[in-house]
Amino acid sequence: MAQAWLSREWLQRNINTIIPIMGFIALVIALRMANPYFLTSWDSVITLVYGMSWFLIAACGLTLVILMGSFDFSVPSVLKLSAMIFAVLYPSMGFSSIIVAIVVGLIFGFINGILLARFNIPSFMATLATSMVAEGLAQVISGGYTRMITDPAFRAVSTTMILGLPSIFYWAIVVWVICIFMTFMTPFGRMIYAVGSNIVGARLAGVNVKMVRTLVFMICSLLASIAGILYASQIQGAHMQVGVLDMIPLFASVVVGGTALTGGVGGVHRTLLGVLIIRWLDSGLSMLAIDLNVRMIIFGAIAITMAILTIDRRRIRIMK
Amino acid sequence: MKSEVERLKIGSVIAASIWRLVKVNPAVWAIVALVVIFSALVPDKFLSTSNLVAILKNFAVTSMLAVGPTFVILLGSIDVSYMGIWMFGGALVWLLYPYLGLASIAIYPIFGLLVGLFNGVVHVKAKVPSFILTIAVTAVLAFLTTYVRNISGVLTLIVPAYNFLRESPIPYIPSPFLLALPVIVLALFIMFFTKLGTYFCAIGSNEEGAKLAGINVEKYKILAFTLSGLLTGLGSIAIFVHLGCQTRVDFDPSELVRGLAAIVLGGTPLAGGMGGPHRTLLGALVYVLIFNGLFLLPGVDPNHLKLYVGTLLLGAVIAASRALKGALIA
Repeated sequence: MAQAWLSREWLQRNINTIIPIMGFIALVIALRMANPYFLTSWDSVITLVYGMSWFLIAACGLTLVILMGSFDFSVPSVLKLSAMIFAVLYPSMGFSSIIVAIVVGLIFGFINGILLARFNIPSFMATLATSMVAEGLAQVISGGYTRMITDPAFRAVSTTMILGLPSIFYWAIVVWVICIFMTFMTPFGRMIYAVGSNIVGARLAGVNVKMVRTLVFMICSLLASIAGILYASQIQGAHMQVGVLDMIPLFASVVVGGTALTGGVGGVHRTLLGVLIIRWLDSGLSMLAIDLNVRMIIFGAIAITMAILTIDRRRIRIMK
Repeated sequence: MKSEVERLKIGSVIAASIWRLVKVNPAVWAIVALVVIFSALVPDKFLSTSNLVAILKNFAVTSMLAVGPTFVILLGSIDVSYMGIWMFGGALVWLLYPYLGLASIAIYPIFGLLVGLFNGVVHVKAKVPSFILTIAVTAVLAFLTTYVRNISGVLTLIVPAYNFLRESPIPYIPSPFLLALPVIVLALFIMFFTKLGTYFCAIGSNEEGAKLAGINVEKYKILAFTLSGLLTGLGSIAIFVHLGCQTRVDFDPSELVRGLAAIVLGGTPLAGGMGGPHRTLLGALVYVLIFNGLFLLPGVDPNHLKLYVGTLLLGAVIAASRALKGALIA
């Protein structure tokens, strides 16, 4: 491993670390030049934190699935469905509706996992179908309307200020740290990497591949549900605007962090930087009054470029 | 006399292939069952002339979204860029019409070809998973279309000069169907009368084996993507006419699912290696019959379309999953 610093091999080996860090530094400099008020007041920091916290929770779940070499399309849809179930049930059930929302999320994760592990259906296809079902269910239970929750007790879940930052920030960091701990310190985490880097090898080594796949999809949907409930708390309700289109920035933030699409390379710890880059870029571009559609085009281009750069080509022989 | 023999041979080939089509395709039985069920439940609505014409129109649209990508699915890869080609191609026609006049419709196949070529080259040379690549391409093209609409300050990207294409020369046969026919014939010709169909199936069922057998796998993969783009571009003209000489300007995932559902319902397995455009045509007919009949039933809310589409796709992929046993799937 002793390669000369900044040599060609070193660059090739560490490209998925170098690009996010350089990109982040370049982004901060560019945003400062474009907008002299960027990050000068504490209020702007809080706004950025609100923008990225729920997003980070959902991105952590997606990272786990991508680490395993699969893909989960249903993250934003499950997020929306959980938020919507919670917002619809909250007036009658109070905080116990959290349980319903989370159970629905877990069921969706279980279906995704079973479709891949038991029925052998490609994960993007299976999750595309379940995401449509989740979107449809959200439409059915809400009637297509925005549902408001005006209870201050619920809003306090995400907006209580602790040490100058809203509590949703701490929720997100706790989820992030737990995910890092799980992937690096537990046998289950190593199994995720094993399945992602070599599924045949993992099976031969005695890893229960079907169980790992199902569990990771369930964790991913659980995190999406939690993100949805916290997001509902932050914006005081649930609306139909979140959806499949949020998949693009979500996916971009995972690959920009340096997690390779082929699985086994990267980690949840990288996703924080990816989320920072994508959300700050998003708010920077919207401060420059750039059209939402153009922002999405930019994220799509970034995601594909990073995906091309981070894929480990020495390992794959057949790419479908 | 040679032509007589050839004609006989072609005739028997067609007869045999029709028999095989019925025997191996559950979609045929599904079509029969759907027609019987809906004719029994809502005979006056389902069997009315206007409804049958609507079925033909929707069949043309759905099959045009699905026929091209079938060639890529034969390889075991996937191509969902049809939505982007259809949407942004229409925007290009609208943009170029003031300069090129009626010839600007030709931009559709050219654009489709270029997008397909791009997909193929990036997928093969840079080894990006085809699904991620093509869905990103679709998203970028769809947002570009919405952006073009937004900056030009019009509500729809409509080109009224092509309205003459909406008049069908044959009564009861809608013009989108007539425009779709040549594309269908082209796809079937490529599948059954050129070596391409066989090569795609060979690559899809065993890529290493195909390589060892001397097939230039990279070339034929790029060719499959290009072909998919070209056919989608040609087929998009029928959809363009169907929508009243305009294109869609906002991205709707249920339209994206339409093409995939038609392919899966037709019975081309996602692992590749078998199937083809003929199955996709049957799948498109199943899809169209299901939704046509469903919305004729009392108490079915069209606002819940996404739920029905999602459930249908879910059921279809589960029903088709027995072909995927033992495959290594990501």
